[in-house]
Amino acid sequence: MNTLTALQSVPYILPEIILAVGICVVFLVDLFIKGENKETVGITAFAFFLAAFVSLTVSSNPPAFLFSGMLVSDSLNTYFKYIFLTSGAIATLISMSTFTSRKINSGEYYALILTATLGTLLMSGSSNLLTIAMSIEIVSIVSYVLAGYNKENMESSEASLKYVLYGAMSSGIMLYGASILYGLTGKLNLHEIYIFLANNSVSTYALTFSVLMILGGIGYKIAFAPFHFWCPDVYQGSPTPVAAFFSVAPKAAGFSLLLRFISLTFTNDVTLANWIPALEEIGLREIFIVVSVLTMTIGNLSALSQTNVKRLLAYSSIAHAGYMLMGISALSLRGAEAIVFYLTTYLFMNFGAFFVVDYISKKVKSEEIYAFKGLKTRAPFLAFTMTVFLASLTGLPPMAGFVGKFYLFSALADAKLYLLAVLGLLNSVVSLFYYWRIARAMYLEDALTGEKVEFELGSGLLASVLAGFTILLGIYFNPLSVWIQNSMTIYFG
Amino acid sequence: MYHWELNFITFFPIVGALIILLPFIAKEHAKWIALFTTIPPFFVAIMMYLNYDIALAGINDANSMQYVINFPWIEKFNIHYSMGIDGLSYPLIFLTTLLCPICVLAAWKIDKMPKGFFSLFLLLDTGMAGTFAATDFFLFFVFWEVMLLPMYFLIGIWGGPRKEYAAIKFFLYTLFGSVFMLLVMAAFYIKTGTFDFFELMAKSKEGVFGTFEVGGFQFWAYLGLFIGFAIKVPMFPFHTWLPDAHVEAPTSISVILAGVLLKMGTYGILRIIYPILPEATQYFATTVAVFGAINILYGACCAMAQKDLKKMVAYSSVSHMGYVLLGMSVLSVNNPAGMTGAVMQMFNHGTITAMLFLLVGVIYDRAHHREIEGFGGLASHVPVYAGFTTFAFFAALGLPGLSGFISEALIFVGSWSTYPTITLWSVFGILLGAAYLLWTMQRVFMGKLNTEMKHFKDIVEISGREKLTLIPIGIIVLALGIYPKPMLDLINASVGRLLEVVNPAVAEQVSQVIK
Repeated sequence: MNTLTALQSVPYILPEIILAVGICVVFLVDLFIKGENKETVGITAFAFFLAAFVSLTVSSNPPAFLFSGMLVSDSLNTYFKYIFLTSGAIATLISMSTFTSRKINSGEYYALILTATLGTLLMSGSSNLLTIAMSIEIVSIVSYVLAGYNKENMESSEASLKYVLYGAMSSGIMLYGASILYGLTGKLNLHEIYIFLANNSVSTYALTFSVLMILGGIGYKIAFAPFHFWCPDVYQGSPTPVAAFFSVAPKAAGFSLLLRFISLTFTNDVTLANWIPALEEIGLREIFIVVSVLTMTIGNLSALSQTNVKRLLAYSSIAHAGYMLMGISALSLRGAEAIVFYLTTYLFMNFGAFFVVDYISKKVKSEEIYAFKGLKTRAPFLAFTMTVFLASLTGLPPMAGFVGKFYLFSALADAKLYLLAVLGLLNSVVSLFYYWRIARAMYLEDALTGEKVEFELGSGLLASVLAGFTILLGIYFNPLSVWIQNSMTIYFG
Repeated sequence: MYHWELNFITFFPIVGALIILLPFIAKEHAKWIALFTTIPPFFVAIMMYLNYDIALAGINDANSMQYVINFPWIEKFNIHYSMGIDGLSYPLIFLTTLLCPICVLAAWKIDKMPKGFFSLFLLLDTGMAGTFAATDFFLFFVFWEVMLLPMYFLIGIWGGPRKEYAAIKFFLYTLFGSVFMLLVMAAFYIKTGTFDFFELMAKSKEGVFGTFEVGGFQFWAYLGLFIGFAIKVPMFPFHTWLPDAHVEAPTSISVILAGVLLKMGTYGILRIIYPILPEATQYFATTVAVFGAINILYGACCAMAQKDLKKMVAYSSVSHMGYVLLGMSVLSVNNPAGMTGAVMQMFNHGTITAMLFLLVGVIYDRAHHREIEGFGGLASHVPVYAGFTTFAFFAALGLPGLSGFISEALIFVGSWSTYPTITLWSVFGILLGAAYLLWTMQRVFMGKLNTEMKHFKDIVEISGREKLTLIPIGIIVLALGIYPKPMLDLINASVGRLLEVVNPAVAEQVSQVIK
């Protein structure tokens, strides 16, 4: 086992260090910026995301356990770091383009985004029960503040409070589960827990109990049923760029943690095949099947009746978490690959959809679906990109979302979970109905006013980059597939 | 040798769509660009016919496909960008390239966002041509689904009063069917590691999918694919999207919908289900025949009951697609008439129903309504229009000398020996067809001229542009009715091969007898 000491580990966490420096620098820059020059702070934050991204591409470290086994660095972790940094950077860009007042567009805000991203980076690298709890808390506490960032808005405060309550509860449950696991095994490091469980017999009941509780804590970050209740209220109340960030980065971090937790603690095998004897009879697969069916069905059926677009997208993101959980139910390398691919496509399409919603709702001062009426004439380009995102979220070729679905369903066919696949497919047909209510408002109905929505070059550029990736990854996804395939190595020591 | 033809037919329209979308292109020029990007593929299709080798069968043999394009696309999944044609797909590609410029002409008067209309139309054209040309399941599926989006918007934006409802209904039905296709495609890939039609057929023959049993893999794979295709056909009881979509869609889109899109369902069944799942095909053949007969009779009865001219034509499509289902359920190597008739009927129905919808569009443009009872005695008022309509109606009811007769006769000749009872019932469809068409004609054209009818002054004789849309199709209908040999030659080899693939045991016996 290649376990590094604190000093040796430093080169491995360069992106984290850059983000941490960025947090301080953003505060300082904010102090020295005068007047209404609101762009500078955001640009500084973006620069640090970019620097962290570059540091990730240039470094090539062999996989290892860092800080005496608190963190792990491997290619899966590296791939997820790209996802988190990209989502942090996109969230920064969206905020810069749509936050109008200097009061919101301040140093604290970008520092919080940087911190939340730092937390997700740590989450995906955690290999110790303590670092898992700590990194989840970093993301959560920052998220509570971000959710309530619209200080004048009552809904935003409500969102923040709800988030705190749910978050505190599920953190408590998770810590309780972790403490039971520690009590059973006497170890905190996931890999050591595996070794202990593989060689000793423990009470299956206690083990099941603790595993389910830990999954509950992760489930709250992913927002899977029945831990999803906070999601719609928080997304609706938060500032939209924050909601977009919540819907992607913490969710991806939750999935990466889930994958690592399952594979490192119970299988010691990247294909998720060789289970420790104590867990074989728990029926973890059945649990995930039930959870994924519940999550996607609740998400999709609740989204059907929404009139607020942000709330609709919140439920849609619950549904997408459900689709990805199907990949976990497959309990196979193919399933894990499918999740990682899906998350990558989801990053672009979901950010895109949220961005257009944010832009339009700021301009027309409404988040209701009817505000999108006649967008074909009022903002033709954004309406077009929104259609691309909606088609991708529905899973229609040639958009990236389709390839994600294809990945998932081939993983399910591989695991012979045909019934689950059929339920997932029916769910994606249901999703067409609510996504297409937005498209219908944009294209099939006439505008309430003929007034054009002001077009800004920067925002148009951001929307077209996101839409470009959504289409590109649908038409030619071979390089990404190969990259993901090569990234699916989990370090077991 | 590098073949460019199928690429050209498939992607040239998209080039036109992109040009139309350029900001400096004026609205008035959109239709001209659309016309000039749909005509060249038609000539390329004719050129392909001239160099087409009718002796090559295709179907399950990659080497006897023609105009093949094949290069790797997504290596990780062994997905290829591969295209090619045989006797099964060529007639439908020809049909697509023929109908597209005609539909552009039929949509000439569109003045609501013409740039949007024609660019979506050209995107639809790409999807259709690609579906018929693809020989890789993944590519096929992508093209199949690419058509949904433009179709939704074409019906939803440019449609009639209930356009939103019709558009989403079409979308939901088709997506519902295609998600099952996606699952079966994924399962095929997991079991064989390929998407290539020919490799899938070979692997299936090797027994990768196991032996057929009720409730087994092949059984469910058949049902999954069949539902997807049957919705598109549309087979009873999945047909309910069709009347809504047709009635609300603008004329040219109805033409595409009935002329080309419905054929994709039967084409998919013949191209994918039959050769890949032959045993399941045998097992379900009688069921398909029964549903074919239901389609014929139910569609005809519904058509008879309609008050709306377009809805009547829409239900006549349901009825006529029933003939295709009946014909292709005759799986006998020694009796290829049914299958030949079915493949021919796909083409013939495409041309005849296109005429019918174009003619409905002509009268609707003038009268702004389609109530059959709202007309009367038009024959004396617009004789040329009446002449065209009579021709199209006679073609639709299967008058000898016109193309519809040949294919319907072949289908009945084929099905008689295999399914005598079903055929006996289906023949009533011909009678019902004659009844509703002649009755409609009587109410619209015969009798005393109804000068009280709405917008009477606007009802003027058919224009030159409209004649231009009808005459090419009319010539084909007449020519194939009198001399169907070119068409039969074109499809014979492929139909024979298809039947051999579906009946591996019988085909073996036959070849031994010949030896």
